[in-house]
Amino acid sequence: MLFALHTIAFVAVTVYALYLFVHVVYTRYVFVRLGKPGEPKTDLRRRLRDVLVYVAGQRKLFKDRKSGVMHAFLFYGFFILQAGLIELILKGFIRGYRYPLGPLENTFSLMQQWTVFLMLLAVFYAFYRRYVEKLRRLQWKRDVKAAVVYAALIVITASVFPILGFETIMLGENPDFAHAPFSGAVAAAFSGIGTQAATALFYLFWWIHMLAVLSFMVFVPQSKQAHEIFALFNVFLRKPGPKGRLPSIDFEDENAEQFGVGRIEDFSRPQLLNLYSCVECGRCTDMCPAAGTGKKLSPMHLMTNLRDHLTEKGAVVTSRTPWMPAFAFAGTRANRLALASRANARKASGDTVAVPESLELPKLIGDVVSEQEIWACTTCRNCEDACPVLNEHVGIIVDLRRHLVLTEGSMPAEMARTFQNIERQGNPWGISRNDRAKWREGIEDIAPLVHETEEFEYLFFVGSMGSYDNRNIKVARAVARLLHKAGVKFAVLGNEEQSSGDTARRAGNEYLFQQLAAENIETFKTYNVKKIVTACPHTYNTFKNEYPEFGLEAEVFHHTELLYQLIREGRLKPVRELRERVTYHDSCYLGRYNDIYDAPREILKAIPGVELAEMSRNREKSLCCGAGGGRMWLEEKEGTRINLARTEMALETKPSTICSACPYCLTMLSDGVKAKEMEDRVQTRDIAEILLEAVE
Amino acid sequence: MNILVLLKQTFDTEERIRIENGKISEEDVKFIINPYDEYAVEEAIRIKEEHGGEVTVVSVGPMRTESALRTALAMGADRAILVHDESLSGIEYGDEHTLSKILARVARRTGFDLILAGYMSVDSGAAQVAPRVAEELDIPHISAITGLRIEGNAVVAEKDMEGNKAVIEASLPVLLTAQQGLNEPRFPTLPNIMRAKKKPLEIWTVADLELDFGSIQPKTAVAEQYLPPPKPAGRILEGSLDSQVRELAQLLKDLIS
Ligand code: SF4
Ligand code: SF4
Repeated sequence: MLFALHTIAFVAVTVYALYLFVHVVYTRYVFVRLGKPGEPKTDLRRRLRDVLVYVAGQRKLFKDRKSGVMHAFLFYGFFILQAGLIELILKGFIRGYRYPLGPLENTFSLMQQWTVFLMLLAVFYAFYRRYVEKLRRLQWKRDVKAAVVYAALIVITASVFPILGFETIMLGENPDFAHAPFSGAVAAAFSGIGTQAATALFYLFWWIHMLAVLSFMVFVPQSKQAHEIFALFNVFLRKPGPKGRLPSIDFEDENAEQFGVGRIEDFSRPQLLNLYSCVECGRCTDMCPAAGTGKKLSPMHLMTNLRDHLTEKGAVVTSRTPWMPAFAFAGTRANRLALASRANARKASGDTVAVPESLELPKLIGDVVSEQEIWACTTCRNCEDACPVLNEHVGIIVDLRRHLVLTEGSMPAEMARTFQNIERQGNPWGISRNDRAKWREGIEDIAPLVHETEEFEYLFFVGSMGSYDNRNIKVARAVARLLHKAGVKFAVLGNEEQSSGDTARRAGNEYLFQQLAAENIETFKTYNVKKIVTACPHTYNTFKNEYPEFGLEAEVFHHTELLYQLIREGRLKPVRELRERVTYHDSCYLGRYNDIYDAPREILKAIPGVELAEMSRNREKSLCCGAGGGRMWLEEKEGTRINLARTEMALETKPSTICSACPYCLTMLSDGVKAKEMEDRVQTRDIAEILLEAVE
Repeated sequence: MNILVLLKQTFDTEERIRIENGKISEEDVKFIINPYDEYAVEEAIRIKEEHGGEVTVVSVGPMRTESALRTALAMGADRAILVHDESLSGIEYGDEHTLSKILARVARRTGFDLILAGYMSVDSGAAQVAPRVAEELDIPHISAITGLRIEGNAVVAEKDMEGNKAVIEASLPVLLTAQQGLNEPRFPTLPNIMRAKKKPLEIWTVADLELDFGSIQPKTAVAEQYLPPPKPAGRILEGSLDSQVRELAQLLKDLIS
């Protein structure tokens, strides 16, 4: 009788839990499906590789060593524990059941015991990191759910030992310390209680374990733990192509009324999947230059706010209750909205029912995400690089900007002016495009125009900064001198050059970007350009990774790549000793976007006398200078200045020179050094200027 | 409310002026809406958005002016009229007299409650056309306004007076010209740019307007066009303060004599 009750209860509870689990997961699947289809999935091999590296290999997690190890124990432990779950369940129905593993029985038992023990330690360590060590990134989102996770995991793991220990007593066996050390200890400690008491305790802990497992299963997809389910798909369904490439908008449709993302369902499905995959680990916000300097933008909260909005929107559109069991969470806003939406549908079909709740939701732009946050982003990818589930915040932010710029025409006045200037004169200041070639004054012979020279191997694309900005004109001239010295045949476009469109694109003006891309590619074709070299990482990135979509076929080089190659080939010989302590600042678009970390360092190492000093955040962790994503042209009034934060990091290395390889970074860092009143003691220079000094 | 905006297309303010064969060359030049006229367009659209009505932009000039008118349509104007024909291009669109006669006639045809214009154009800079149109139409005008309120028939305009503010009241119909500071012109949205491409552009000729060609002949003639002479390099005086002052005084005396 009791046994029948036990069996029926277990089956009922399990079926109910499975029903809830499926409902919750399917509901979120349906919500994600509200989005637009993503780009076609082609590169299956890369996707599988990603899954191996980032899911199985946990690659990103090890950026934070301690948390990485902790997570790996839980991640792999979870699978091992699952392998033993069926055995544990059957033990509740078949006395003394063990998997028929023959000679491996004991090994399996040992493995289970240690796994459980290590997982328990890992959970305690996780608890310690959050609540005792108070790791900064884990303090940004405080809610009870994180504590629930720890409690559930502790109950689930810790209950295994009493189950097995009391089972040993119940079966009248002796504790097997060799193969079941931890449960053996329990059995030994309670050996005197007798079989009857042991049987009762066995079932008590068995039930505690099963109920904990089943409740956790229902809890997981409703919390940040949803990543356990969604992250795998998130990694697999990531948008194809180079890092940070933005999907283009098709402007063919002349009747389109809406561009970018103005409503949550305008995002693509892979983007919406990002939202449910977020672990709320805070890694992104911890690395974000905007959040780090007191701006409201926080990439983690961007994700979670959008996620919660999607859940509410989904409830309204589909009438499905996202929080289960629904009766227990009747008070949640999304569940109330789902019920109201149902009532609304009945009312619409003629029933006389009252709609208990207004179905009006907060506006995506304005209420859920503010314009202030949207414009604060430098598109630096510090967040994306840190994210363990490979979320892509930048694409989301740019989609919101696209809506503001293209659909609403709403943007900071300086941004509108910048667009207008680029549109009219091809540069952000609106200086006459007929003055673009002026930077060449006095070196016309070594930097010929494309139509002045018979043949050239490289087109040197100077960029707007190199052409007009007084400080960066010096860099452009240094690059020209170096190429000339190395005997590289090159030419420049002069007044036929114009903005690459990176600023326009990252600031949301996709229309202007595509116009510029088409015109630039046309110009390249006219002059039969095969190779392009540029000193601007932004230009480099958009030419190399984004222009091919619009028909560019040329090979693209950043000046650090080409200069390093010329040194290796012996065509540039840095022989002059420079007694400098140099710290190199990695530009986002060179480093995180294009993985170029070594070429610039190798150039510096090739210069006699140069001592390289690394900043605390270098290479892929490098903090943005604050100028990317159009921020160069906007005021920075919120919080403190990003360029100062980065300059302070650079100054910590006690350098005599701060070296960069990007015109924006150079401007930002030299402004920073001036603001710190250190310009007498610390120089800020582009790598080409330093190299030129060493070869002369 | 029926709002008419007088608009001129000018060189982008950053263009460098080139003289070819004794005339300003238009080759390879970027054209824009005269910036002051852009404030007028913006203000007209804001008034429409608040009070309802229709905004008509009108220009006299060559066919290239179409792009400026389309931009105004993309910003939110409803209707665009370009006065253009061979006879007008023959006299290079005349002078302020010619333009004001034509525009006044257009205004009579379309009807209006309010006329807005830039207070001057950045190219010829005479600041005459709009006030002349007001005279031709026998309505009051307020020039170079930096603030505007319209309630019923009453118009309250603000303008800067050497750092102070003058508040001027009038009633419709009236002609107002816009000064910088009146507003921040909007950035046309893409759907509006697309829609503007499809809106009709009305081309009116002198004949359509039943104007006597003789009566709109220019009253002035351009004698010569030339660039300002290049600025001679500056000099920084050196030496003691006293000797610098003495040298400066001498230099100024030499200049006058
Ligand atoms: S791209 Fe950079 S600035 Fe933008 S949210 Fe991510 S970390 Fe912050
Ligand atoms: S977006 Fe990624 S890095 Fe940021 S909190 Fe979520 S999971 Fe962590």
